[in-house]
Amino acid sequence: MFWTRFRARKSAMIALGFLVLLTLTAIGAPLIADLVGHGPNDLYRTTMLDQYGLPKGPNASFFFGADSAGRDLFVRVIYGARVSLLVGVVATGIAVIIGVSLGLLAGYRGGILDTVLSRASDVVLAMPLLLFAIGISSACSTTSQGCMKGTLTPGLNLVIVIIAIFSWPAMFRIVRASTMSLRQSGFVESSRAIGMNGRNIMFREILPNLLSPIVIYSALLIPQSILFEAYLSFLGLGIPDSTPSWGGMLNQASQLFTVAWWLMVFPGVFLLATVLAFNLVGDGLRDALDPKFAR
Amino acid sequence: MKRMRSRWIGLGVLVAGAGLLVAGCGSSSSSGGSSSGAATRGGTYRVETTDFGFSDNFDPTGEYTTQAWGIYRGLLIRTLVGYKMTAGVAGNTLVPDLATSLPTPSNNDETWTFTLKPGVRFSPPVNRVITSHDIAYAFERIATPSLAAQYAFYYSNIAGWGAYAAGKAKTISGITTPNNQTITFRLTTPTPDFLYRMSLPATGPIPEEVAKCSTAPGGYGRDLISSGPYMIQGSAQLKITSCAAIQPLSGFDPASKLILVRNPNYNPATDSTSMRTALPNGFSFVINTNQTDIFNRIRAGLADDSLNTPPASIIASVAADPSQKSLVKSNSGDGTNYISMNLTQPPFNDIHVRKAMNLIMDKAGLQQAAGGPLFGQIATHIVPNTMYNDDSSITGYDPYPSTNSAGDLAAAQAQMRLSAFDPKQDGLCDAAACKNIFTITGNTDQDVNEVPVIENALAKIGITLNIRELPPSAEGATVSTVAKNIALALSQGWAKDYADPSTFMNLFASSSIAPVGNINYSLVGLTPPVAKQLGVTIPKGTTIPSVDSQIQTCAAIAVGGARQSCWIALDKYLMENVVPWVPYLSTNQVHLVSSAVTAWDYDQASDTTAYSHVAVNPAKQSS
Repeated sequence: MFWTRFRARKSAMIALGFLVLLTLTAIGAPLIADLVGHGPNDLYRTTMLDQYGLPKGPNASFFFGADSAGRDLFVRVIYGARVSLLVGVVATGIAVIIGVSLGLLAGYRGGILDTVLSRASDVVLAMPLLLFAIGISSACSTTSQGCMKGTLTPGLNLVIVIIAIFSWPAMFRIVRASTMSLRQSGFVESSRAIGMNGRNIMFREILPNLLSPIVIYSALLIPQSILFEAYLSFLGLGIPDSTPSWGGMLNQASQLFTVAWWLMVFPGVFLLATVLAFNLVGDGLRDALDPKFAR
Repeated sequence: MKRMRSRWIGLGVLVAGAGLLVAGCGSSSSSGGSSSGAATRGGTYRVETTDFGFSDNFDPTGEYTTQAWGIYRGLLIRTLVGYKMTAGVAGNTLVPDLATSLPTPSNNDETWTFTLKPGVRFSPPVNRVITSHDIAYAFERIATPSLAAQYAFYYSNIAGWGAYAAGKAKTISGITTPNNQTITFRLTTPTPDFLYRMSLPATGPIPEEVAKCSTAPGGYGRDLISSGPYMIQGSAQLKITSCAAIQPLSGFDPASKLILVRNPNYNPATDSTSMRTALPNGFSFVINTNQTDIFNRIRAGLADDSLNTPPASIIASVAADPSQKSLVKSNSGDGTNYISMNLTQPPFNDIHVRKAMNLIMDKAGLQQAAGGPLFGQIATHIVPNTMYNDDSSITGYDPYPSTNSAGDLAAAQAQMRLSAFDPKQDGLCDAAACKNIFTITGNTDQDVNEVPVIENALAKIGITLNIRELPPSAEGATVSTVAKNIALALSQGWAKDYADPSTFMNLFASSSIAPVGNINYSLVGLTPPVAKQLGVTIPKGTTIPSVDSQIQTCAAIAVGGARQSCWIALDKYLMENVVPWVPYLSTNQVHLVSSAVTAWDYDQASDTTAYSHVAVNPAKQSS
């Protein structure tokens, strides 16, 4: 039933196909780099930078041209997909786990626990997200130990943590509201009557009924996470340059795009297509899983 | 901005901080004299910048930025001694300015007496003749801690300096003014380069009747009284009857503009045309936050010059147009870009590793990342050749040569085998200390561009980096905090304060080591007791070399050939026996000017446009 409904949305299917292809490409990035003969950090400054140090454009060996350091942009865009997908999926996963767990607790238990968790989510939502992220990134970058006794060190892990910290409240609110509604329903009352404990009720009775909104919102959260990573990298606060990321590439392009259009176009198109694809898949999931949206 | 501990270089000004300066217009020596017509009097020379970046609100007592120094020297402040405001060696040669001649020191270079030219006047509203007391007052301001002078260390050996700074004396006893035309400085130690120190803008005359009202750092910058050919607009209207009456000059707003008009009290007869021709009727320095727009406006004739370095897109397009090529100016910035290695941090406590670093570095790649030869020449030692007047004993010196300056793998691996960090004797840095070395660099476009070049080179000898790219201010604060034990600092830069190699060599003095604000990043000369105080652990078996005695020896020699030879010998000693840096670029200053500019020169002393030698054709200026 679900698959039939999902398949009916052509845009969602095309988007899913793109994401599958992108995932396979990301996984096979080293293989592709071998086939092309250029590593993501190999420099070709004598052949791909001109006398002024300006990068040269696409040609038969460098399909997307070179970046400002003389590296193969095609290979780096492919490797950049790894970062984007990893950040999108892992950061969203962490945010979903936190949001769902706390949302279930707050919605089911209510009382002071609900008040505390709800206010905590309000506080996180009220924080100036980008400034806070910039602050954490900067503060954790000046010693080899990073922050919190080495728990947070700049790079991919820090980016994922920052994104997760700011992404869980939305999921929390959705789950909390749905849980509050469901805890009054007959099947929960029945479970309680037969002596099922709270934890089992939350995770065995209520949670399965929340899967649709969780899956739908998760699909929509992934592109937000990918974009956030791009923002951070664009500001130079994300992932180090040696790890290719689309945001970092766009950052580099910002000074040179008038003379090297390819620096902006290729990572930009991939970022756009990936975010759009996740959104379309999210829409498709919503239509397929939520009867209210069924055609 | 490249870390410019010696002198802060304004945002985007020094090549190293100039974004993707990928450009070039041939060789890197285009000095003054540019013209697209006869240089005549008149017009306004229009300069735009993304930010003034002044370090002390344009107050000469504390201002320590290249751009401010260029404006002061050419247009607003005359010092006892100055420079010819031209490019090359001639521009680094001292000439008398307010003084009638360059004095000869007595008492073993400890006593210096200057005679002031008669009839040099302050601009309105002060109007009176400049006297020796105005010079002495400028020094009292430098010695006043609350005014936060940023290079007071150059004068701290004037007798009585400490007592005055501590508030224990009403005057600096080592500065005497027997009459209005004479001032004598008595020093506590021989200082052969004292004349150079007297060329710095903070030593220019300051009228006490105005400046006494500014008791906070930077306050006098809004009411600066000129001794040069121009003054800040609104000076004539400034009321100085009381401190309460003094208001900021209308022509200067640090957030938007600095407008200069002619100083009616300036008498060219007291000056030299080799120093100042003062042809334009005025200057406008205006903030335009869009750097690309600034250079588009220059090309369109809507502006004439910029404090910023031209971006890649503009330079590339100018370079492609033969008729515009001459509008690009490139001159030595008397600065060095380098990689700093901390001698207390493994594996850099081993000189063989440091030598291997020098041998493997792809300096040509780093030059290309900076924009090519237009933006600097490959550096093979610490002090730029221009600072040695291109002395033949150093110009060809390269202790770590390689083909096309791209690195010598075989020689680097041979050095690595001699180190304690290559137990496998495979020419690679095998020890754990060689992996993921905590490294700081900046996050400017050029800094980021240099990273892959450095990483690729070091990977060939088994060294991998854990790089943190920080904004310039955070980077500077991090690298200069000794307790952070930064092993490797990439993309560092240093430029002169004045044309004596001591302003580079002092970096390696043990006295330059400080817990915070340290400038001796490599910690050359660090002793175990000091290390303990600073929270630094010197690895067992490591001896940190010192060059204090060599620095003292060279600093005591009179300015001239013997002194230069001494610094050259020390430069070579540092490169071969200490190896604290991987120097890779002798930086250039690049300018793009409009076709309305009919005369242009480079102020080698300040490393800026020589504003006193420019001219414009108003008919060619667009509006």
